[in-house]
Amino acid sequence: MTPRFSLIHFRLLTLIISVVFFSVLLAKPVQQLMVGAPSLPQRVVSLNLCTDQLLMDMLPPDNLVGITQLSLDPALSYQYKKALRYSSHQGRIEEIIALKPDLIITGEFTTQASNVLLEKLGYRVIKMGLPSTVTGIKQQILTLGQHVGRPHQAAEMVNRLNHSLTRLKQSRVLNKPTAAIYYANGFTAGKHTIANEALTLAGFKNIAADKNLSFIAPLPMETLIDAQPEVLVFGRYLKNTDSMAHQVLAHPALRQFIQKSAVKTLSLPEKYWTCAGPSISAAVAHLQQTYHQAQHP
Amino acid sequence: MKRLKTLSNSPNKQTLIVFLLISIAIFFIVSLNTGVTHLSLINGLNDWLHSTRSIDSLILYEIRLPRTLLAIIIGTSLGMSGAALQGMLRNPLAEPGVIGVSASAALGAVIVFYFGLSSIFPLALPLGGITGALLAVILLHLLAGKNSSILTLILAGVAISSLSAALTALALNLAPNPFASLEIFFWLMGSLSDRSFLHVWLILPTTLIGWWLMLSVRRGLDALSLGEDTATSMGVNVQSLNKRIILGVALSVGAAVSVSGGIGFIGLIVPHLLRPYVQHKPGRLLIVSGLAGALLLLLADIAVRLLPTQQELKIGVLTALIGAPFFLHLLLKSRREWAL
Repeated sequence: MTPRFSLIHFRLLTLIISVVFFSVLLAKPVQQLMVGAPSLPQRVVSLNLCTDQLLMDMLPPDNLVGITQLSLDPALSYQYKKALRYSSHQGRIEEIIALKPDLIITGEFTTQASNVLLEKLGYRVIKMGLPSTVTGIKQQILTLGQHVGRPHQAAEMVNRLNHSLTRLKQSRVLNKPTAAIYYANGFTAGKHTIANEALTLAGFKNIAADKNLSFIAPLPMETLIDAQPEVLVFGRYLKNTDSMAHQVLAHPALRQFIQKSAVKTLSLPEKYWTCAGPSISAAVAHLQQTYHQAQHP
Repeated sequence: MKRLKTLSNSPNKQTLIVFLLISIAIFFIVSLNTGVTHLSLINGLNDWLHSTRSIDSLILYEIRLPRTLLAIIIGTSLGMSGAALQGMLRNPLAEPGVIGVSASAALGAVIVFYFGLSSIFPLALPLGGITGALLAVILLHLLAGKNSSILTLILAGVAISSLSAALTALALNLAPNPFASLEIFFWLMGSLSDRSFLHVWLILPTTLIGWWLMLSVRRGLDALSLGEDTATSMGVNVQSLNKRIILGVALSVGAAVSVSGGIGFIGLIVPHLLRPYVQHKPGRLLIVSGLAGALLLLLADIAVRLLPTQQELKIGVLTALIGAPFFLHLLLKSRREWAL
């Protein structure tokens, strides 16, 4: 390679760099101008299973232009049938950009790398937390309604939730039986979880919360058996395929304990409590119904 | 004592065996007494003997006893296999974990377990592990069998280990259960938590056959330490000896890994610590290595239950933390001795 060639290369490179540099410099304010307008969002994209569930109740497919593919999984998604009417994405950043969103709703703790990048690119990104109480759920629905410009729909959702929870209060389980939730891998749900809230609302006493466990925490089988709950709630995935995680739920010690102490076993599919939302009333109803069925077979 | 005499012919070794047996008995009790809940061992045992089903006896018999027995059985398999492999390959660094037998046993078990075969036919689980282990030992024997250097053996082991681990990860990612892909850690590191009597019964038959196969060539191994030609001239059938050890290791380690995951370094540490006590005779090393392996794994399993981690530590983490530095020490030592 001769020196002349490299000089040309050098100049070309400088040119390219400066073009890119200036176009970015110029483009940034324009983009911010575009999304900075506080008008009603027309193209909302959701990056989180739980915000999918809430947004599908507020927005038609024309305005909610992308939900996660997880929402189509019958095991995880409470509204998987409704989700079929919406177009879904796999969460890849290029897919999201191609949807030309004017508002992106995402989880506070999920897809963090994408959230940061999308914010850097100038998109309006709103992050939603994971509430653990009914009050928190209602608050979140109202906040989300404000952001997407559908406060009336949000207020209606809250009303419906209030109604169904009031109705379920009347069919509360009597005498506060002690209960423990047992997930795959021997995990349980303690305080500050939506599962604990559902259990309490249904009328049970959660032994994990009594033992001062918080969030989703491991509960050794010995501790579980030693605590002698009257009710065991198994959180199961749709298909009981084989895994070490699910083998724990079929351990002989647990089976014998259930038999010996006549423990009532309920199962609560994961779709009811993967997310905190209106599905909590369905979770409470399911717990009450299956408990009554177990009591009077 | 009479039985001990038939097993050994040196007083030194007899004392060692008695010492190991007593230690195992002591830590057997300690293991039954170790767990997250405090319970009365005597009440629990009493209830169990009178077949009263109390909570204490349930926890003791169905949770702690199976894991204690598994620690002893699997520890014995790992220790004895380490000693047998080192004798057969005449290579001080041979060990089921290091040379990739554990990893390929895990691959076999994973394929059988996650794709539903073992729920139709439970015995498929240990058989899957055994098949994986057998393939690895045969491959190793072909690659690094005859008087090859330590380096060839270790490199062949590295290749088999990485290939098996990669295929295990692939199988777990393809498995239908969403938890499967997270369980690679169990298969690579091993654990005895929440195992049940089902697992004990599943591995016991093949494990016993494996032990018997390895022990049946004790005298042949002693002769083999003098070289293959000398051994042949002394009337040892080297071919059949190799076959018995390969099959014995595959049966015992394959079965062990299929219920506990790969637990490394037990088979490496134990024979080295004990070799001076048996006058460096590989045949005599087998029984003491088995017993010491059981003791070591039992201790490690008690330790993981006592460590204050949020979730129980995988037992292989502990054995690797102790074993890996030991392995490096051996590597340096053998470099000096054989100018590798």
